[in-house]
Amino acid sequence: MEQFRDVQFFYTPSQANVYTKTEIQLMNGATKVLVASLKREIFCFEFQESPTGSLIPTTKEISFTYIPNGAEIISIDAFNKSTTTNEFVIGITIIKNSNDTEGHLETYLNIYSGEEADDFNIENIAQSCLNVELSFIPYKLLHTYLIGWKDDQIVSKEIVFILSGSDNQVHVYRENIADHIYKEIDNKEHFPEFSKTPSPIIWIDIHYTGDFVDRVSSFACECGYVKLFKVNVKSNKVVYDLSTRFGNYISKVLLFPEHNPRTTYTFQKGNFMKEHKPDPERTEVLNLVVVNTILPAVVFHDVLQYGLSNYATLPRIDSTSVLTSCEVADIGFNGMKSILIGNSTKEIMLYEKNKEKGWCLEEIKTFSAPILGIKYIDITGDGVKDLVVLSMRGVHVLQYDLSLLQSILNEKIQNMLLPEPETVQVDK
Amino acid sequence: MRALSLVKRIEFEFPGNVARNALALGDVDNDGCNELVVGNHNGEVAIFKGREKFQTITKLSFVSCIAIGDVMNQNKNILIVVTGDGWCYLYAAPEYSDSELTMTNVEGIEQIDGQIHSTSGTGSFETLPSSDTGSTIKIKRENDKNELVCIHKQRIPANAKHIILGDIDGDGYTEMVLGLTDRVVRSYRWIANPHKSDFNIMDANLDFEPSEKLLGKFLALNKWECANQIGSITLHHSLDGKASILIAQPGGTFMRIKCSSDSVAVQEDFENSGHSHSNSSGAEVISGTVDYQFLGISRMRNPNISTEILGDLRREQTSEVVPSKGKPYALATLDGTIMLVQDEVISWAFAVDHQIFALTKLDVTGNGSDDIVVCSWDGQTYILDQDKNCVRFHLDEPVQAFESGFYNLKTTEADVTCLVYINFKNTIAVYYDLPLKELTCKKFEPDPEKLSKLFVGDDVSAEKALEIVKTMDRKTKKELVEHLLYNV
Repeated sequence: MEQFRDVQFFYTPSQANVYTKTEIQLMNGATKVLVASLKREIFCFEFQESPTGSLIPTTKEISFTYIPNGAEIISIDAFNKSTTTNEFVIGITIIKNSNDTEGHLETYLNIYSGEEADDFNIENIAQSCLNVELSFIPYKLLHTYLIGWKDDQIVSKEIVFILSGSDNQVHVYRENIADHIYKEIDNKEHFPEFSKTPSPIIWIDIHYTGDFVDRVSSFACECGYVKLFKVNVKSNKVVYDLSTRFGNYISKVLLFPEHNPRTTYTFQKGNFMKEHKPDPERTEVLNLVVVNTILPAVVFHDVLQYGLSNYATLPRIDSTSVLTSCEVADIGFNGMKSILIGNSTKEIMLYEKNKEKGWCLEEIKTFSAPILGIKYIDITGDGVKDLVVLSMRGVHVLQYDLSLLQSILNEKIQNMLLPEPETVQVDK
Repeated sequence: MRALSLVKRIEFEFPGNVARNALALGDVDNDGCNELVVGNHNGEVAIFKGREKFQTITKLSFVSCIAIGDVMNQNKNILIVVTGDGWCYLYAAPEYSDSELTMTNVEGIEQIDGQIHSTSGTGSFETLPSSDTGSTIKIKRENDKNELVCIHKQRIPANAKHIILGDIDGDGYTEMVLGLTDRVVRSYRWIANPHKSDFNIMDANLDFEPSEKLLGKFLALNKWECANQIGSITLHHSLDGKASILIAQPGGTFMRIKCSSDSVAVQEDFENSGHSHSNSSGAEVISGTVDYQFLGISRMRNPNISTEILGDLRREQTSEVVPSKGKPYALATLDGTIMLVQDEVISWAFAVDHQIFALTKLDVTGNGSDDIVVCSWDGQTYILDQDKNCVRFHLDEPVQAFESGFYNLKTTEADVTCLVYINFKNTIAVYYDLPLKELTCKKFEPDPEKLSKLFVGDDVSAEKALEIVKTMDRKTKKELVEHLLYNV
């Protein structure tokens, strides 16, 4: 990963875990990273631009209300309710050690929200809390769309929190706007795929295909049980239900489309127009990567067509480290997805798909602490995605080498200016 | 502030307490590669080369200063070890010319084995190689290490805590300047023994005792007394190229000594110079002018705070033929103020919340201009360029001595930037090859001319297209870049 340069290291005084990093993408394009650490400090990391054009990394500790002393943060998640303004909802699950001798644990899902019309101020959001008491130890917290279909029309589209727990179940929390509370809703009605599993669910990934007609969900349990569902959202029926079992603790499942989403832009009359055009020629191809803590990670290709039958393993070179995290990214700007896997021996391994040999380990980059999470997002706000790595000691931000970017961009522009080969032939 | 986590690290075991100036990076054996030399309170000096310990020198007393430089003015680096009880030792790597190599005969080679045993032991002056090594070691060097031997030992006033090597009086020769704990600064010059000018310690078959001043000796030149305790001493060159010694004084102030060599040349007879302590040292040899600089707002600062100073910061080469300003120099105080000063005017000051004890310079980015590298007792390290851009690195443990510089991991590879930390757990941590090409981080700004090519059309001229790109709002530009890069 020679193309990346270390630009920033955000230090956390106590360690985070695999669930305690989330991103907030504001409507103006700025991105903030929220990281909660073990000693219940929550930090907001971002880059601000100075008048001279350089980036100033800033760290702000956010004091979220209703996180009592001695509480520990398990997981954190955030989403924007609105598509036009900044209406963020932040969910934090905590575990509170009560003082009584029985060692009874109280667990909560705290939901913070606030409407910020123009200026986004996370401090304000942190002060308005809705509290949901849990009867289990929380695990992974995430959010997804809850789509309501009626007569082939989407009638409702809202975002709900999804939380896996020690009771081997998945819980869905939906906002009741009238009462201004969050309530758990029945899975069977909206998410038929989430039934009781043999052991707690470690990671869940949900992907809607097409225009929210189908939903593909995958989740993995502590015991190595991995499930893959396809659900027709209109009829709320399970299309298929596949499962497999790995021997070990699974650390992450990740569904990823084979291709980057395609948008069409025009450059006519000096105007730069953006229009989303679904590409009819390109069928959606969805892959699933399952990261096993001990065994090699496995990629299932085109799960919409083949289910879990077309798979490949990602070779690993050492057998002692624990694979903790995973990200899929087009890091070479060539439309080819690479898989990045982080491990406990402070490394990120880069896998690329080779036409002849399949998935190969291409590179290893070493960090100063064990890796907990990787994300490929644009934190610097320049249109180019950066690698944001959560380690035991903090958040590392890696940016592409700027001169390399310019040369790649030049090449892309050059390619766009060349006439399409077909049209040349037609002209002749 | 920008912060970094460094990954490339080597650790060396080295027990004992290390004085702040008892470590140095330099090419001690004249092979073109930099080594790290560290000395401790127990009188051990270790030389690290690449990833390994190269040599240990033992049986000295409390090592207070270590320096590497051409102090004998023979165009080769010498290791200088000064101990707190007032001994100055010189160590050099045996060096052989090609002519000596051709003299090597079978007999010489046979003696190699015997020689290995006698030199690879402690390396202290008791075990100096005695015979014929001159013609044999060159062969050994191919596959064995070339350990340093003590070539000189001399009594000097005790309690030295700072050392600098440099040409302080502009005569073209390197002098040694020592700062003592009793507020005294002394300067010395190496005077070679004229009768032994071509003396080679390695080839004479004699009982060599380093204290016998066979090669020459240090001649005391000057003694200056400061008003207050010495924070550190440094050499600085003003705009006209004249050298001066800057001595940091408490409270962010310093004393400046300008030395000039307009006095008579000090080519005294070697025999006469034996009495030089009494009759030839002092202002007759080098006339110096002394002034104190308080640097503007010194009243604002704690007058007792200990201060570090570092002169001769290189600047990036500009097109200016004759620079109009002198070279900048830096000061740092223990309460966390770092100042860059140029011509006695503070260019900028930077305050941090850590106790800074070490001030070094290193061209981290490789742009030809020296960056200031400071370290605090708790391991917080700041790298500042001369435009006040700052990058921070935190070593998660207390530090007792710090140095920055260049180090060679392999003799076949180029030297790399490094930070050397000596902690209180008997280890030396060397962070090498710092991944810093620039101290600031920037957003990606696409070249507008290239982007404008996309907009050139039938009714859009190149100029108009450039205008479109330049006036494009940030969000659109961002979307355009994203589209170009990721829409495959």
